[in-house]
Amino acid sequence: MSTLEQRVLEAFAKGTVKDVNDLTLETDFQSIGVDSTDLLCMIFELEDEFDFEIPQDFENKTFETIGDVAKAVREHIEENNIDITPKG
Amino acid sequence: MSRRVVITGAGYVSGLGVGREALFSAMREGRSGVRSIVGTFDGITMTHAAPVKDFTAEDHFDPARIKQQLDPLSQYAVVAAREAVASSGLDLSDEVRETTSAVLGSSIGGLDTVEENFVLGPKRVHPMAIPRMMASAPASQVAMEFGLHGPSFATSSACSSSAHAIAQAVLFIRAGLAERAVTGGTESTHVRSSYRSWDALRVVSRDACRPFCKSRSGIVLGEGAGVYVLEEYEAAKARGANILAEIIGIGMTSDGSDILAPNQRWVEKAIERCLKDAQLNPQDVHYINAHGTGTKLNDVCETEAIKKVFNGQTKQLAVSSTKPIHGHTLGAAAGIEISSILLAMNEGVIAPTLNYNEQDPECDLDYVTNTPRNGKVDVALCNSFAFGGLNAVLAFKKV
Repeated sequence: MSTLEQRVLEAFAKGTVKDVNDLTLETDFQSIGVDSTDLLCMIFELEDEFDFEIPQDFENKTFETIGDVAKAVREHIEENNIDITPKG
Repeated sequence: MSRRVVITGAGYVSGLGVGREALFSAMREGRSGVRSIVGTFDGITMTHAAPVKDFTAEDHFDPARIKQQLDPLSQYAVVAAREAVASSGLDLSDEVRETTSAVLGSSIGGLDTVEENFVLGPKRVHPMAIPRMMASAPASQVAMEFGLHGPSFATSSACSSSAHAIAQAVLFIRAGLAERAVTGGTESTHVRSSYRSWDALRVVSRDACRPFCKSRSGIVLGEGAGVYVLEEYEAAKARGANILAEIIGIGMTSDGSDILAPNQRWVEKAIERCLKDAQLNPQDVHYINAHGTGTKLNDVCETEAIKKVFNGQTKQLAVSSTKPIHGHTLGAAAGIEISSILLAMNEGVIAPTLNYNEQDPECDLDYVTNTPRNGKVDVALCNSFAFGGLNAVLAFKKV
């Protein structure tokens, strides 16, 4: 797993207040009961982690797994040429 | 005849601890939950309060629900509501849930969330800040907890918030808009900005809350929740519920005159309207749980108002303020203080006004001071008078 995927997993765990050790990129949202509040909090943590603003329509994408989120984050970073090197 | 409304369940979180017995035992023994808060927060000058005791949120809730949704304001309300519903013995079938309301009062809203997001200065505001701090969050969380679908909302009228919530719930049941309600009030005050704001208002006592006492010097803050299950009397009786008391009257007024100072005429009128609604004569009332804040203005105003309405018929009347026991819990005030009425009616013990050390000639009713008094209480009033002149009085009868 790349660093980006690991960072997405950690942000997801923080946002949804779950143990990161219980999660993988294949973890299915339905199986762990992810709701709209979780998605909001996950986006908040992703923005914190990567230090860029996630566009308003991000949560309208269809995510079934944490891997789907990681893929969307990667696409956004590549399309917009964003530096995600951790600060400090 | 109007439908009768009874209390069949009660639950509490307070400065005495979690649960009914923690509060009732203190009321019964005349024991205070007020303690030193020196050193808890920087920049506060008040020295004593009654923050909620023995409460760990993680013992009651999933960590995700706490972080995303539950300010302490809602935590207290839901924990008290769980106890109220459990003690009512109500079977929450689909049909019952459809016709049950959640009406919860709060004076200020989720200050802990406000502090965390806007005062302590984090880089960004959490996306769930609004749903956590909104004053209606406790009503929503209680409705969500039990899946209730009756008319539900928050009331906010400063220190009368929970009295107004209970009044509203009674009116729903009387009118047939709901068959039952989970109602009361909640407040979270153990927050630096709350203490600083009350310090700034110059109404907090530097030593102790001494209602009706000549040496009184102000309020002492408390926090927590008091929540009840109310039901229509015939339905409660039919299911064999343990009826703790009947709510027989409501009186409400607005001073319409000052944002801080009470107005005796409209305090009187609230008591009068309550007696009229309850079809009571003054001599029927055995006990008043007074608003009794311990401020110079309130206690004289309340005493004079009672004397005027009762017009000399106070021989049978005992009065106490239980705020020195649990602190002034603001939006939870009536919610928590009604416990003293349930105690008096069901155990024959009137909780005392603690810290009383010097008679005030201007406060000359029969106050139960310092130690509990045994007595028969069949009819009682609970007074709530808020900043901004929003007054609510409730009348109770033993069933």
